[in-house]
Amino acid sequence: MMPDLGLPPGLVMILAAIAIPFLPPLTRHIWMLLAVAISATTLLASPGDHLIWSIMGLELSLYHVDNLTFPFSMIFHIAAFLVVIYSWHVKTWPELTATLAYAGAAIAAVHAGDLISLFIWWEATAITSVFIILAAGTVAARQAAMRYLIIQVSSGVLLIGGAALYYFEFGRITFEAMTLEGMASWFIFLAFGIKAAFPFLNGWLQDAYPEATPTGTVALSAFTTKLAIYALARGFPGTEALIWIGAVMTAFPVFFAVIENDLRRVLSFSLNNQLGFMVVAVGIGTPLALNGAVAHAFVHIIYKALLFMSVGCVVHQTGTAKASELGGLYRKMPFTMLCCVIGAMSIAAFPLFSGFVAKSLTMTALGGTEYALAYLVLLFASAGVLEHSGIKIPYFTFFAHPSTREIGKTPAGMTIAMGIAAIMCIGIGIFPGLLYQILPYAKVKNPYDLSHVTGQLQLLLLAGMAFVVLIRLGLYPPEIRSTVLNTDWFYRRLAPAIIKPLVAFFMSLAKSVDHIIMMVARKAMAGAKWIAEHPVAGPVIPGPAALVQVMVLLFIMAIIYANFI
Amino acid sequence: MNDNEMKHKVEKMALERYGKAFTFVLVIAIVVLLVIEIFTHRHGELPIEEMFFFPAIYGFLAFVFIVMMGKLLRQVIMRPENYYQDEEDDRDDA
Repeated sequence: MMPDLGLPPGLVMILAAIAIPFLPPLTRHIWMLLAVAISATTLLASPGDHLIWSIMGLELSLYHVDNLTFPFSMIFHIAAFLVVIYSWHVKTWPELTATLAYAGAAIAAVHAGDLISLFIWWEATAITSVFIILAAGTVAARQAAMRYLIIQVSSGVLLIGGAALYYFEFGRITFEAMTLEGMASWFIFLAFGIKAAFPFLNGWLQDAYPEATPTGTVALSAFTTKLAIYALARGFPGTEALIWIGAVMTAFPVFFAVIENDLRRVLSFSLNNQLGFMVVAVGIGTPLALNGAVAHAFVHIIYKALLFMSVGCVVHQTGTAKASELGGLYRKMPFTMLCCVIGAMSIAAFPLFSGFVAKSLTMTALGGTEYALAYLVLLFASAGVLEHSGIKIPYFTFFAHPSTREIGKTPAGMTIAMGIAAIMCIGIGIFPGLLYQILPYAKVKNPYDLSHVTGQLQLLLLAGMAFVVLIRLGLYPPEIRSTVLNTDWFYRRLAPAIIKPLVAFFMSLAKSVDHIIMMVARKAMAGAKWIAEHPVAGPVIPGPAALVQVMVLLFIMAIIYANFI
Repeated sequence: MNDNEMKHKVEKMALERYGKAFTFVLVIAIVVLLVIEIFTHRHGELPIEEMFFFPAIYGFLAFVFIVMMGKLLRQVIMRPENYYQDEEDDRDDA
């Protein structure tokens, strides 16, 4: 069993992160791997609450372990490990510190057994991840980071508000399954929804992730959103609204992804679409569906990291992720291309790749319900996944146009991390039992039957054929250097467009009122001065004496008046 | 024709060759799937899914629809690359 360190899981990584700036650059990654390895001993802990802190009459459960925490904790440790390897060439401490602390916070959040400790780690992931974005050091990154921070902190505020209301309503803070009744659960639901990038709450994701460094984006892609999926799976399983929210999430981003030029932004739209599948699965809420959500989150972290890693590698070598400037790199970066294709086939859910074994659980679970429309939307979105992540990413990066670009050597860490992730994608695809045995609910049967395999292949290959036809007919939209508006437009453009004139109007109103008051005051002062300086009763009585006379007269009149009443 | 142009042309031809090979393999695979579809019963989650070659037709149409909608969407939400640039110019540190 796990030696009880008296620390919440993940905290060891946060503490280790604090030491990184003081270590010699060459030892930093070894130190980070060590911290991840020590933290990973959490995975040996038996189910139950291992660490309770009593604060102000509240019992905080900081080390909760059960069937649902296990797969998430495991994949978060794997992701942390991959990110450390991938960023081996990064020697500057700010990004490394933020990355390790961020991963630690996410792991700690998974093991939070109550809403208050969940809130603490929830905010910790927000704050640490902001520094990952800031580490890019560009003006655009700094501004995106600030927008990201505001939204992430809003999610935290909603969560703590919801937790407080929940406590007043039920007298406890245990993080358990809730129903959408009352303000408390709605607040918490929205808090989770922001981090899970629900429709219209998604702008931060596509805004901020592509602004980070190539290594930073890989770290970002793994934790925040999947933490939200975990939180939804624990807090709101079987909530019907999630089926429709998730269905919209799967479908909408695919249209944006078609026309987006920045390939890391395409991957962020794709991330959003994948979250949709998981949200639908949580919404169905049956054991099979929840297994589907967990399995999908697990494999998604790996193949999405792999895709971000391969595109990140290209950014590292060429300085750009713009489809309009890339293409033809297959000969210069064959290994990266191979890894990218493996990631693409995994996310598109080709049989024998990891996406297939996870997605088929959700599809089977959804097929057994009355939500036939949602099923068809997800099937539609599956063709969309093939479009943007399965084809667009590898095609426009490595093929599309001839390239005469000179490419340097890829850092070994990047190559190794991509290799490991690629092997995992194929490994899980071929041996789904490896994944299925850690799923939280019930036993799952093998997804490889003829109907599933041929059905999926028909969908993917004919969709691929559609791509070939569209390209050959010249109907596929060309890559254009552009900005595609997303929901962040509402607060980056619309809100300022309305609020700026309003503020300007009130400012000018205040200025004129100020002006009028000053004018009246000046006039009054001038009048008083004039009276003081000008005698009223002839040259022998000076002004102030006249004023005294008036005062005395008024006083006398007041007394007389009072007497008469 | 200079060296660079030559290289470019050779690369282009290579890409075209790979493209053709890819299309060829794809067509073969689709034919195989069609044969399997004819001779076996494919179980679907929904009744409609069991229709002949349904996932294939659905996938093809979905793909075309997504791309066409994307093209339409470009008319509405595509802006110049520097669309948010003045946001940066607003700041002192830009």
